[in-house]
Amino acid sequence: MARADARSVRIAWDCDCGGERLVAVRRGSSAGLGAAVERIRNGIGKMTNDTPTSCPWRAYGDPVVAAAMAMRRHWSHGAIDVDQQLAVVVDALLEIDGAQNTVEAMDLRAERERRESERRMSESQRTR
Amino acid sequence: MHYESDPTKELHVSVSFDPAIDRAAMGRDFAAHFGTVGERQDDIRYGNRDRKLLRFVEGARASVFVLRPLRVYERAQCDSLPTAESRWLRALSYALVRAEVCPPLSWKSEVVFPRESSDGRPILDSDGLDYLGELISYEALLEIGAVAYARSKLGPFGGGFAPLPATSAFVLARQLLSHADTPTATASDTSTIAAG
Repeated sequence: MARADARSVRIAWDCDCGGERLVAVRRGSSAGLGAAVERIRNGIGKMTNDTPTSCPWRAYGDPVVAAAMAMRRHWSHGAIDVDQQLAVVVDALLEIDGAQNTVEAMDLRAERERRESERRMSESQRTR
Repeated sequence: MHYESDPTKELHVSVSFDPAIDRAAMGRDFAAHFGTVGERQDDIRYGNRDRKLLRFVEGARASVFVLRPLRVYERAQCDSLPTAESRWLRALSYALVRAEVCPPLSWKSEVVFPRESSDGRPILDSDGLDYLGELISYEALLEIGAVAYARSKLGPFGGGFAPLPATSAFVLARQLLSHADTPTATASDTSTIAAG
């Protein structure tokens, strides 16, 4: 994505990242990039029961998210003693894992339904 | 985001009813710093504990409590306790790094450190809690403990100041005491009509 496009997307999220308040596109836009972002925001809200209040890049500036993402690399290898980690970071890590699992499960279900509909289509064409 | 809102770092806390804090001078910042408590659950607003918002009475120094974030096993032990007060006090005993107490909140100036426990981590034992409670009051211990416990959880900066639940033993005891202090009508105050 070109640099100008990235900025447009950031503006569409109506987020204050970078220290500047970008309000060119208001939330709830009915057309263009603002509408696309609104759909993404609503989709995330439906999937995770938590609608984001900032753009995705802003979340990485949160120290708890940063610590959880750093721990996640070791977590998957079982290389850390969970009991000795900060409780709030482990909570964040479980939240991130839960959200990712939910999204992956929904993707898998959508993929399975797509294949199923394709199979039915091909079967109905064969029987004609 | 200011330093105090990072729950992975140490936090310097003052008590909301410390006489050294100039509540009038703080204005709305008082509620922003310490949070507010209403009658309903919706009325609760968590404080940000940003020390830049604090204003002090001239010539007075506020007591400061340094808290570290709780670890998983520590919070699990807090969670296993039955009442909010016991959870907060246990959280305080784990989280306290040092308490720099001084008048007017305390009756003497002192820096209190937790003792080393058997596994090498410092922990404020029950004797330490009692001693600190005598210096700064039980309410202050609960308020600081509530901050320590609340910031170990995800949320709007884990909520600085959490109110006591109305059903807590401590609140009920206080209510009983306040009722005991209230002058009530006695038999001698009331006019009696002789039957007959």
